Amino acid sequence: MAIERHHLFRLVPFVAVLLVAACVGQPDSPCVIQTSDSSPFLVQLRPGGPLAPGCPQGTQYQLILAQRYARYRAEDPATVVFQLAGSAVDPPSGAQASGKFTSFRVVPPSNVCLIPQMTAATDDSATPVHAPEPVAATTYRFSDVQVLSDTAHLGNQFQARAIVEYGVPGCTDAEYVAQGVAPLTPCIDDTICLPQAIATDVPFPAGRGLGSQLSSDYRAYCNQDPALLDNEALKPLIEEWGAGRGAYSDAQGNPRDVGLCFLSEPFPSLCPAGSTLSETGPCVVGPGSNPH
Amino acid sequence: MGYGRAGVRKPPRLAGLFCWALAVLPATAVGQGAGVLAGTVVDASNQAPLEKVTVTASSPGIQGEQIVVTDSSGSYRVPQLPPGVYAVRFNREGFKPFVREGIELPPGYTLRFNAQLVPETIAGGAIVALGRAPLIDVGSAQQGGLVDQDFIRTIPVARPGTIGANGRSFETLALTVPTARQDLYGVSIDGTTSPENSYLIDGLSTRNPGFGISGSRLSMEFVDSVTVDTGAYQPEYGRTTGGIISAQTKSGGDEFHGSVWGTWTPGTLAGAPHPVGNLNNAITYRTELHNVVDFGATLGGYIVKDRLWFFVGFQPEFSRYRVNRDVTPFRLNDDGTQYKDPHGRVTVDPRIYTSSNFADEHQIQYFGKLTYLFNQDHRLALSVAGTPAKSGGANAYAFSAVQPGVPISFGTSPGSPGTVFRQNFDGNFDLVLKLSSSFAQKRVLLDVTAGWHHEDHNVGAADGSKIGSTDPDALANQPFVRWAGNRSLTEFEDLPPAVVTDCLSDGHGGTNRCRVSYTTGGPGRIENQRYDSLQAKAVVTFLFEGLGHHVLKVGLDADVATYEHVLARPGGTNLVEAGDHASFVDRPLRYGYLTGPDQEVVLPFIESKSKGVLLGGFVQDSWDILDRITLNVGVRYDAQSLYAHDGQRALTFPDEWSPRIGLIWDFTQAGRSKIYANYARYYENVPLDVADRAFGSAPAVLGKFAETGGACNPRNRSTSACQSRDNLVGGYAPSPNPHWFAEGNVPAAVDPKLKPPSEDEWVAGIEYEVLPNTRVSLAYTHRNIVRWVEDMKDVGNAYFIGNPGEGAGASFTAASRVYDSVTVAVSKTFSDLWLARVSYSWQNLVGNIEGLFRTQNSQLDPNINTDFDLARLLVNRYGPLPGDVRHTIKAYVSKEFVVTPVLSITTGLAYVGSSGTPIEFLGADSFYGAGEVYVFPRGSGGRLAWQHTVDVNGGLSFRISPSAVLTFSVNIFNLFNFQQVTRVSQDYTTFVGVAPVPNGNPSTDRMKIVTQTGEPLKESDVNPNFWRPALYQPVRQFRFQARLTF
Repeated sequence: MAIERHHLFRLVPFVAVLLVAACVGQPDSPCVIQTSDSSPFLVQLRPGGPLAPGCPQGTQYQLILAQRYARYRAEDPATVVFQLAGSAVDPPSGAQASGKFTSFRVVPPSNVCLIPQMTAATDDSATPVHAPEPVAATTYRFSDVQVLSDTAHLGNQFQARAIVEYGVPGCTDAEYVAQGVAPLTPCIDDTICLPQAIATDVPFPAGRGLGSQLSSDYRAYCNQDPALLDNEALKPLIEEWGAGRGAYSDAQGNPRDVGLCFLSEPFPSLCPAGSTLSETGPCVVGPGSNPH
Repeated sequence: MGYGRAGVRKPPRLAGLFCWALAVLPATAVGQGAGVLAGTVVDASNQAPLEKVTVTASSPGIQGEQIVVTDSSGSYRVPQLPPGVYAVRFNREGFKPFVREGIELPPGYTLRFNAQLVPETIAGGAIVALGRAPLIDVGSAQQGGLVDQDFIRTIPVARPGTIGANGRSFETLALTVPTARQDLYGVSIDGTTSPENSYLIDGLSTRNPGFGISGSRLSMEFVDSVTVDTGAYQPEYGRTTGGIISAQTKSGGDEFHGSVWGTWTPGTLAGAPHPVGNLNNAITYRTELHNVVDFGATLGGYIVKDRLWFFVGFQPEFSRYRVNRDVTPFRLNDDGTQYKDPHGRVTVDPRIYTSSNFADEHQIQYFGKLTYLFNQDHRLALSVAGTPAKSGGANAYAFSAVQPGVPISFGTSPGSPGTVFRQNFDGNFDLVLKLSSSFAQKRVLLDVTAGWHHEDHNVGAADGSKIGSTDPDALANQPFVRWAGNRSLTEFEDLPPAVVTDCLSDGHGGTNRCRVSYTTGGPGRIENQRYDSLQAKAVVTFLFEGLGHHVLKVGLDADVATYEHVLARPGGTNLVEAGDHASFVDRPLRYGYLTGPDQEVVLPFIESKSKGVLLGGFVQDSWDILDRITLNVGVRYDAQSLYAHDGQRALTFPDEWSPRIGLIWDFTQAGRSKIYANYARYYENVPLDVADRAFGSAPAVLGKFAETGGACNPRNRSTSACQSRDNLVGGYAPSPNPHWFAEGNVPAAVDPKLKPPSEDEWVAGIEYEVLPNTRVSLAYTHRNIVRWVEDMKDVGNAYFIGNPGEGAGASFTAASRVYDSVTVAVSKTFSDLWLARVSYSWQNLVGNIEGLFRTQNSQLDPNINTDFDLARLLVNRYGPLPGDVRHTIKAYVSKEFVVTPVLSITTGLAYVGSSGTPIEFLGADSFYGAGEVYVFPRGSGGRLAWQHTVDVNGGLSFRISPSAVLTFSVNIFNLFNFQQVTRVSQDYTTFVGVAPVPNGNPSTDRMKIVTQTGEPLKESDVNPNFWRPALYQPVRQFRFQARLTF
C-alpha cells in the first residue's frame, strides 16, 4: 500500500499549533444574513428627524427577503441582496438592493458585520407606504447596514440608514433609521413574543407550545401598529404569515388582530448586560415595562 | 467486575494439550495488556517479612525470565508481564526454594499471592505449590470482562450477520460482557453508543477517525484475548465516553506452533427468514444467507531462541447473501379500491413473482509480528495487520462499510441495477511498534508505543465508473431519480406476462395493485474516504515505598488524524418526482453555490480534508496504603483541536481535565476478594465528521425541473434528461432567486464558550472468590452526560455548534443521558475442563440524546445529528432511550469430555435473554423529514417483547500426533429459530409534517394530532407500515469448522 508521507508530515506543525489554537479559542462567527428560505425580514423605518411636509409622515414598514452569496471555500466577504417582497424577481429586477460585507467573519470584539453601501432598490409592486395619498414607485437606498452575527443571533436582525424616494412632490430623500427582524412571528399580545414556550392548547398565534421562534436574548413586543396592519400593500404578504386585522378568532368567536413580534429596543436589541429575562415580561432592567 | 482466565490445566491429555497450547500462545503485552504479579514473602516459622528474596517469574510466553527482589517489607512486584501461565520461584539463602506453578495472568491484571519460605533447618526439599491461583484483580476497580481463546474455542461467538462477524473480527466478542449489547453500528457499553468506544489493537487505536466506529477488522484467529473495559478506567486510558475494547495479539515462542482451519456457514441449513413487508410498495424483501466461508493459517515460533520470535497469519473470507425480491400486490376490493383489514390496515397478497440477486463480499486478513528481547530489561515488538476487502458488483449488492457483514442494509427499496448495486472497496492497515524497558531493578519502567492506523473506503457505481468519469453514459454521471410512489411496477420493468396481467387487473394501470416507489439512474452517492492516524504514547512508571507501596505513572500521548473525503452525487444530483408527475426536485441536494441571484455554480464533487490533533497527559498513583488498601488517584488532561479544509480552525477543546479516584480493599488480603468504589470523568474524542460536514463542505443548490417526458421516462436507465436547465421551474425558490434554493455555503458558527462533551461515572461493587476458580460479583454503575456538543439552530436557517442548555444554546434543553445498572454475576474460569459465566443485569437508560447516532433514522453524524437542530423538535424528547434494555440475562457454559487419550468432545452453550426496547411514536417534520418529531413522549409506544437466543457448540478433537490435534466442530446459532420482532416501523407519518402533542398519550390523544400548519391529518397521510415489524431475529444458522493445531 502506498504511503503518502507528505500528507502525514504536514500534520506535524499542527501539534505545536494546538497550544496556540487552544489559547486563541473558537473561530469567529461568519457574517451571515437570515435568508428568505425561512422568513422575510420585517423592516421598520423610523424617521430620523422631521420629514418634509410633502412626505408620508410617521413610521413605515417594508418586507424584505434576503439572500447571501459567496464563493465556495473562499474567505472573501459575502454579498447580500435585499429583495423587496412582492416585487418582480425574474428576471432580476430593480427591486433588488445589493451590497457586500466588509469582512468574511465578525471582527472581535464586535459581533456586528457591516455593509457600507447597497445599490438602490425600487418597489415595482404596490408600494407599502402608509400615507393618506398614493405614492409612485418607491426607491430605497440602504447604507451603513449593521447585521448582528454572533453565535446566537446569526444574521436575524440589522439596522441601517435608509433614504427613501417616494416620487411625490415636496418630498425628496426622506431619511429613516431602518431596523429589520426575522423570522416573522405572528402574535395577539406581548406574551407570545416571549422566548419561552407558551404551554397551551390554543394554537398559534395565541399560544405556542412548540418552542420559541425567538432568541432568548430578545426584548420583544407584539407590534400591531396601524401603519403595519392597515397597509393595503403589505396585507396579502403578512396574511401569509397569519397576521392581519381580525385574523384570529378566540374561543368565543371574537376576532382578534394579529400583529408581528418586533424588538422593543434599538439595535442590537438585546437584553442589556447585567439584565435577565423575567418570567412574565421582557428584560428586567429597572421598572419592567415596554418602552415602545 | 472482572473475569479471570483458566485456572490450573494439566497437560497433556488430548484436550489438555490443546488447551495448554492455546493458553501459552502468549500476547506481547506492553502498555495496555501488561500484567503484574505482586505479593509478600514471609518466614513460615515466625511470619516475619523476608527481605532480599529472589523472585523469578517464568513462562513459555516470555523471552527469558523476569527477576525481582523483595524489599524490607517482604513485598515484591513483577511488572510488565505479558498474559500467560506463569511459574514463580522464590529463593533465599537459608530457606527452601518455593515454587508456585500454573498462575494464569490475564492482560492488564494485578494478581496478588503471598508465599511462605520454610527454613532449611526443617526437613524436606523444594516446595512446589499447585492448585488455586488468584483470580481477582486487586490493583484496580476497572470493570469489564476478558474473552480468551478458551472462551472463543468452546462458546459459539460471532454470529453470522452481526457487525464484524463475517470476518470473525475481535470486537464482536465484546457482546459477551454483561452490560454490552448490539446497537446500530457496533457494541454499546453501559448505555452509550458504539462510536463512543475506544478500539485498540496492541495499544494502537483503531477507531475510525471520522465517525468513531471500529475501523479495523482483525480475526479472532490472530488474537490471544480481548479485554472489554466497561468502566472505572484509570487516567492512562482516556478519550472515550463508552467502553474500551482491546485486542492482544498472538506472538511467537520458543516452540513452533500454528494452526490451519476452514470455516463454512451454509445457507442451505439456515432457517427461513420472516419476510418484512413495506406497505408503501408492492415489493417485499427476504434476505437469506447463501454461504460464508473463511479459511487460513497461522504460524508462530522463533528466529533466535529466547531472543527473536515471529508470528504470521492470513485469513481469506467470502460472504454471500441472496436477496429475494417478491412482488406482493396490494389486496383490492372487488371494486378495485384498497382492501383494509378489520384493523383498518392495508394488506398485500402472497407473492406472485420473485427475482433474486446476491450480496457479495470478499476480504483477506493478514497479520505479522516480531518480538525482540534485547535483554531481560528491554523488549521490542512490531506488528502489522491489514484487511483489504471488496463487495458488490455489477449485479450484486454491496456491504456497508459502517455496518460490515450486516445484510440488513440490502433490499430496502426497489430500483434499477444502477441504483441498488454498488462496487465497494475497503481496507485497513495497522502498524504498531512497542518498546518495553525497565531500569533500576525494575523500579523504573518505560513503555513506548508508536503506530499508524489507516483506512480506505470507496463506494463506486455498479459499472465500476468513478468520480470524474468522462463517459456520459456511465452510472457515475446518471442522476438518481426516485419516481413518485403512485406508479406501477409495470412501468419500470419487463415482467412475465402473467405478472403484468395480475398487476393491471386493478383497472388503474397497475397503480393500485402493484404500485411502487422506484428508482432509476445512478447510485445516488459515490465517495472515497481515506483516514490516517499517527499515534505515539510514552508512559514512565515509578515504583517506590512510602507508607506502603506506590506505583506512580506519568504519561504523554498524541494522536494526529486526517480525513480526506471526496463525495459526489452522480449526475450532479438526486431527483424526486412530484406526485402529479409534473416535475422533479433536487432532493436532498445538488452540490453547488450561488454567486448572485440565480447564478449557480454546480460542483461535480466535493473534496475536503479535515484534521484532528489530540494531545494528552496523565499522572496517576496506585498507592497500597500500608499494604492494606489500595487508593488509585490521578488526573488526565487532554486537548483536542479539529480543523476543516485548508487548515481552517473548526473546534478547539483545550481544557479536558479528567479526575479519577478509586478505592479497593481486599478483605482477605490474599488476592481473593475486593470491595471497590470509583469516580471518573471521561471526555469524548470528537470524530472528524463535524469538521468535514459542518464547516462549509456541503454547499447545495436545489431546483425544480418540469417533467417533459421524452428521454426522461421510467424505462430509460439514463436519467440525465430529467434535469435539463431549460426545464427549470420559476417561482420555486424564495426571492431573490427565481429558480434556485441555496444552502450550506457557510461555515457553522461556534459558541465562543463551547465546552467539550463529557460524562461522569460512579461505580461500586464487591467480588469474592467463593470456590476454586469461581467468583461472585455485584456491581453498580451510574453514568450521566455532563454536557454534550451538538449543532443547533435557534432562529432562522444558520446553524451553530454549542452546548445545548448553556451559552449560545441556553434556549435549548440541556442534553441528558442517565444510565444506572446493577449486575450480579457468577464466573468460573476454565478449569477442570469446564467454564461458566452467568450474569443478570438490571439497567435503566433515560435521556433526550442517545449519543453519537440516532437509531430512529440511522443518522451517523457524531455531534451534528438532528437531535437539537430545532427547538421545536425538543418537545416530548425526554424518556427511555432506544438502548434501554431493563433486564438482560447472559449465560455461557462449556465443558470438555475426555473420551480417550486421543479423543475428546467439547460442548458449549450460550443463552442471552433480554427484555424489549422502547417503541416510539414519531412523525415527520416538514423541513427535516421522517423520524424527527416525537408526536408523543419518548417510549410511550410500549416495548418490544423479550428476545431469547440459544446458541450451541459441539466439537470432536483427535490427537493425531503428540503435538497435533485435529478438531471438527459445529456452532448452531439460534438453535430454536426464535423469530421475535427486533424492530418496528415507528413513523406515523413519513412525509407530512406533524405537531407534537406535549405529554400526550397515544391511547387517548391520537385525535389531537394535527399537521404543522394546524390542519387535521388525512388517512393517506398516515404511514401504512406504522408499528408493523421491520426486522426479526436472525434465523438459525450452522457454522462448521475443521482445524488442525500443532
